[in-house]
Amino acid sequence: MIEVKHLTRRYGKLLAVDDISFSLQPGRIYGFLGPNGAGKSTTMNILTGYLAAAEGSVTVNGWDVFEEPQAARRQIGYLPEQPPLYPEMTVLEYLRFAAGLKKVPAKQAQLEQILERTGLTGVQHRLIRTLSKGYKQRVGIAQALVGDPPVIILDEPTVGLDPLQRIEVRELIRGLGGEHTVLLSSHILSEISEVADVVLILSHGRLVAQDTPENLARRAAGTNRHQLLIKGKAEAVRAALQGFPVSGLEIAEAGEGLVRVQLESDADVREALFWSMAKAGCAILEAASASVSLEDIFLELTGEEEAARAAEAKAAAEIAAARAAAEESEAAAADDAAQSAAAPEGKEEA
Amino acid sequence: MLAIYRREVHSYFTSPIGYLLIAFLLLMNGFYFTAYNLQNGYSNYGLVLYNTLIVLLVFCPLLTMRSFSEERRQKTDQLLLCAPVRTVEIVLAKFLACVTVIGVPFAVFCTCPLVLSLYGTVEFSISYGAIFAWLLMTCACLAVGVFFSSVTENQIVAALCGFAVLLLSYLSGGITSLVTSSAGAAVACLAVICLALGFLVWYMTRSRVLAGAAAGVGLVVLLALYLADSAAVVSALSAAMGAIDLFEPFLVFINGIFSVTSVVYYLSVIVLFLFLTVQSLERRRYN
Repeated sequence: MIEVKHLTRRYGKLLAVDDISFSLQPGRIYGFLGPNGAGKSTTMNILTGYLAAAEGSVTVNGWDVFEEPQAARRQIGYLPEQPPLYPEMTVLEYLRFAAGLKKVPAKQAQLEQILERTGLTGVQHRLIRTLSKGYKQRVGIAQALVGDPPVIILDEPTVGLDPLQRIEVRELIRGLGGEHTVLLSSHILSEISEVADVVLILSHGRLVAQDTPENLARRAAGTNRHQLLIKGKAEAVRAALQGFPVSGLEIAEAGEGLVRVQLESDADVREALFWSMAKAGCAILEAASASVSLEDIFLELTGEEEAARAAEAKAAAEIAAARAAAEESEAAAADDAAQSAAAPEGKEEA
Repeated sequence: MLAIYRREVHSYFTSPIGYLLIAFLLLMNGFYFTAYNLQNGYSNYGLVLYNTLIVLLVFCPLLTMRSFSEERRQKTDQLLLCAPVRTVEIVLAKFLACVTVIGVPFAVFCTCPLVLSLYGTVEFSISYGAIFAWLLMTCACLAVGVFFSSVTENQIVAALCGFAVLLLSYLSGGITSLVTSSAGAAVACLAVICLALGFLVWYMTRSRVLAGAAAGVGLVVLLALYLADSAAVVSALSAAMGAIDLFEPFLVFINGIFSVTSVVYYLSVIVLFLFLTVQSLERRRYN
């Protein structure tokens, strides 16, 4: 549906989007996640043809955004970060205008369906300037839906909405999946994790991860981590765990005949643990699998990126220092050679 | 394109700006029409249009100032530039909406020679030729205003820039007579024009090398011309100032001559400034 290859965009010397590549499959919901300034909006603006790219290519349904911009833009409904609204128009007039702009027939039935879907039926004859921020955001989304484009791109669609409106917009976006390919951006983790099938994490213009929220969590966790509170002696618990494919085993007395156990395992050992402890006469009072939230993954990945950048900068500084030192020593050696060459002449002169 | 045109016309006529500007233009023309044609008995309606030329210096920038700057301020330009519409269509739609607004006073002006014919003999060809030329000239002024609206998101700045350029154009005849008195003054004036050209190149390309090269080549040619033949510099300045005078070609029509050269000149100015507007909008995709 959307193919992005080696996309790069600079603002002067700042590299806003740094050689990113990804592809979006039809009918799925993709979430762009990244801190402010990560390059989410810039990437979306390039996908929709609003901005040009320094390098790389973008194709939407086979149409090249840079070579055949009109055809490519026909495939996309776009809600920018700030909804592009004309305050002097009514909601219905605005949607008719959007239909005219996209060169699609403004059929009343279709517009009514969009109004219904976005919860704007009651305010369709009101001037946009009189609407609340939440309704204005909905009008922006409604505009993106006009013409039923196969790709919907929503830049921070829930920004400025109250919690109830956020839930409604999330439901709306979920409903768009299947019929449309949806790409939405947010810096709010819960937004993305609740709606998106696939998460694309951007940091400093680089795509640092792309996977389902579950796979990302699994990848970040690496292993299944379990915490247990067991009634029994530490030695008995340790003996019962002999032969289990576990790592990072920690057993600590918790007082009152209780033992706190932490262990990690690549395999699912929960059932085997239960029977083993039962056999050893150690009752499991509490058991919990440690879960990794998207927030942890995000922080880990963006932290890795920061660390990589810092390492790169440090390495560059070290190389520069080494070069400077080498040049200095070369210069000193040259001076010594010059002095030793000049010394016999001096002697001769003397 | 039609959707943008309709929206633009709708916005002009659902806010006071369109009505106020039209009323202002009609009031000034009505005043001169009464004074020249009705009270003093001149049959040439072109004289009225000639005396109200200065009104265009204010009218055109005020009408066009919001064309693109308002879109940019409201971020609605994103809607237009992400739509399956070519940039040239957007520019044409905006420009034609402005032309539609001046269509109202134009229609009123067209009735004036008919009114005069009730009281005496009127040379319709001269009067209607002048009205036609006024329309072309106003369209050229509007194209200038639309261009300045595309370079800034501040409406006031857009209006002031448009006004300054039209004023320079209006006064270019007087300036020419002042600076052509000596070759030195002519060289200074042409040097300023070269630097302004360099600035325009820099603005459009953001390339200091290209802008410097454009201004540098102009200055070198100017210097060479001055050293070779100082009188040629004066005539070059006269030609340059004549080219930027948007109002001079209109006078030919008032004198009863239908000048094809003037028509081509106005059409060229319109095309040039609309082209620059398209480039100005396209440039934003890259900057």
